[in-house]
Amino acid sequence: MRKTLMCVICGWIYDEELGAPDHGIAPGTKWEDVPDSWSCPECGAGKSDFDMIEL
Amino acid sequence: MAGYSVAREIRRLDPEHVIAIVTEEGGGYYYKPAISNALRMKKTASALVMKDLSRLSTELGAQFVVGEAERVDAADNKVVLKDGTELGYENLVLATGSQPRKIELAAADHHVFDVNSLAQYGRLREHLQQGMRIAVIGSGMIGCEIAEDLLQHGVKPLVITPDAYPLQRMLPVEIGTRLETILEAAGVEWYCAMKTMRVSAEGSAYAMSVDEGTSLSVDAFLVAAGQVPRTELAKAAGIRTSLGIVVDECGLTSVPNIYALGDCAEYTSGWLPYIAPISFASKAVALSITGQATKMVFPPMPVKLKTHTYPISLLPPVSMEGVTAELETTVKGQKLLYKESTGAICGFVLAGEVAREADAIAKTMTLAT
Repeated sequence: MRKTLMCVICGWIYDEELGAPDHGIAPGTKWEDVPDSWSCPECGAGKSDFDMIEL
Repeated sequence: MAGYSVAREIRRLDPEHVIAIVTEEGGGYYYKPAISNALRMKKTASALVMKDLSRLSTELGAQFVVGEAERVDAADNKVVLKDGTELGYENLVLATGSQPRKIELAAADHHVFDVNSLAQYGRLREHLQQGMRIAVIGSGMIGCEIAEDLLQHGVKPLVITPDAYPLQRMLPVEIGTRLETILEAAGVEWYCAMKTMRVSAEGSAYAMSVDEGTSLSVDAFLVAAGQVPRTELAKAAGIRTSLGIVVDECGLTSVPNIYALGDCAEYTSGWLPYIAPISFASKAVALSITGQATKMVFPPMPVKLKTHTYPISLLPPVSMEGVTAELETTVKGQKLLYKESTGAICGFVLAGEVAREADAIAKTMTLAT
């Protein structure tokens, strides 16, 4: 099941299918596999500041 | 923003901690940088609110007190609000932010705007009408972003600035003038290197004379002449301030149990009035408050300018000593790399399509240090 998460600080959305290729995360990367040190490309918030959302 | 961020971090560390947040923003939480893109997104002020106060309060397990703090009584460990309410504290976090630098204009208050808060954005958006001409005073990040955003709303921006070119303090002349040209083609009128400015009412609009010569006609003013940290509360309480509220590596001010972060604070590495540092500063402050004094660690954090027609990401070098700059211009934009004598990249300005490489380059810098 494809997951989508939103940064609670700025609203930036991580979609597993798209990944974040400009920010070091290849398309198709599962959220669990995104490193803990990764931070939101828009606002710099940590991985723990993301909440699961339904699109 | 900084207050919300610290509260989240404290709650994460300690489910029992009692948190009270004093705010003038009764409408709820919003992401402030979104304001300078909100016209393009066709968003009203209320549409920018991500969470209202009741939802925030439940999520954070925190009490929200809507009001304005009048003074801090450090001897008695309490904050007194304008309405007389007194709040006792064990630890106090000052996250008072910054405010736009005031500019004297001979114009009615209801024709002078800024974009420093949701309420101000709401005022501006309600006032704007297609075909209006707005004088944007200042050509920093906010001035440039909002000028581009006004165009999207069918409003003509006239940017008036003492600087020789936009973002003079952050960009080399080659990149700044390119941004100027690109935004001009999109519809922005520039009045750079202006030394004087005179305003007089003319019917329901205003006549402006810049540099004693050029005459302009505008309908309203948007002040974007830089931000000033809000330090009055701290100053009056005897807390040491310089440019901002001076804090040590853990975010502690000169007074015990009082911390500061965000736009109001001056860190050991300087004043960083941007979003990304808040996330790192709030972690250190929350840990320090919950009993584990922790120093702030800021990784290289590129600053991103949201000018969509010519996006720019930059990261100035910590020191310019022995640093050389190399500018490469391609169809994908302009790439300026600052290098140490060893050849290692220590900063950059990326403009155009190459701006998206910012995080990748910043990451190589983390590895190098």
